[in-house]
Amino acid sequence: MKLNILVVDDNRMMREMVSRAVRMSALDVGELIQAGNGQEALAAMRATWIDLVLLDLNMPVMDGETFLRALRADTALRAALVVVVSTESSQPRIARLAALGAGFVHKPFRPEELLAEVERQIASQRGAPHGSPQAAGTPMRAAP
Amino acid sequence: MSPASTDDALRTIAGVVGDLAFLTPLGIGPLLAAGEQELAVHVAFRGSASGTLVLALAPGLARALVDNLAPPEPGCTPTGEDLADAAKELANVLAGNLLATLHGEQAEFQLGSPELVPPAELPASATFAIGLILAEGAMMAGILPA
Repeated sequence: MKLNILVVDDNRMMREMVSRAVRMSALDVGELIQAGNGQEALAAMRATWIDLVLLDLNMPVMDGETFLRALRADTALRAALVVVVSTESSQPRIARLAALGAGFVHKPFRPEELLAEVERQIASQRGAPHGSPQAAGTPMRAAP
Repeated sequence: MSPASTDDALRTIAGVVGDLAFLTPLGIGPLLAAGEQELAVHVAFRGSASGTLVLALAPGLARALVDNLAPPEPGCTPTGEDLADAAKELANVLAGNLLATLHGEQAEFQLGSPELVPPAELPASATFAIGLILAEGAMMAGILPA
C-alpha cells in the first residue's frame, strides 16, 4: 500500500535530504510533500491525506512538538504516523514525544535508521490497542 | 569545562561533520579569524543554559558541504542560498549534539533558527571554542554565553 509522506523541516536542504532518503528506501511512496513548519504541515494534512509525517522539532512559526499536540488533538488527522527527525537529545523531551505516539530518529541519521524507525512505527500501529493515538483513526488507508 | 569534556565535545563535533556531511576531520586547528571565514552562522539556545553557538567555515568548506548534503545537478553551481542552507543545517545539528555533550541528556534546550551573521572572531567570553581541520577545509565552533 502506498504511503503519502509529509516531510516537515524549516531547512530546505534537510527536507531534500530526508526526501531523498525516503525515495531511496524500500517504502512504497505515494505522494511526497514538504512543509517548512508545523502550521504549513497542518494545512498540508487538511488538504491531502497523509499516512506518515517525518517531523523536525526546532522550527519557526510552529515547532514540531506543538504541531504534534495539535495533530493528536485533531480527530481527522490524529491517526497519522509520526517520526521525529531531530537533533534533540533531551531524554525528557524524547519521552514526551513518545507519549504522543511519535517515533524518534536522531540527527545525524543514516537512511537505514530512518527506514527502520518508520517500519517500527508501522508495525506498532498495526498492533496498536484500541483507544491509543495510533488506533484512533483508520490506519494506513490509501489516499482517496 | 574539564579537559575530558573538551575531548568529548571534539568527538561530538567530529562525529557530526562526519556522519551528517561526510567531511573528514584531520585534527584540531587554530580558531578562524574574521578574514579567514567565508560563512558564519549563529544558533541561539535557551533552557538549561542560554547562549549562542557560533559556526564559521573557511572558504570552500560550504561548497563541500553542499556537494555532500545535496549535490547540485551536473553543470549547476550551488547558489548562495544553497551554501547558507547547508551551513545552517550543520550549525543546527552541531548545536543539538554539542549541548547534549556539554550539559547531559537530562538538560532541555530550545534552539532558535540558525541565522547567517557577518564573519567575526570569537570574543574572549566564549565558554567553549575549537578549531577543526578537515580534509575539505577548516571550521570553527564556539559557544558564547547569553
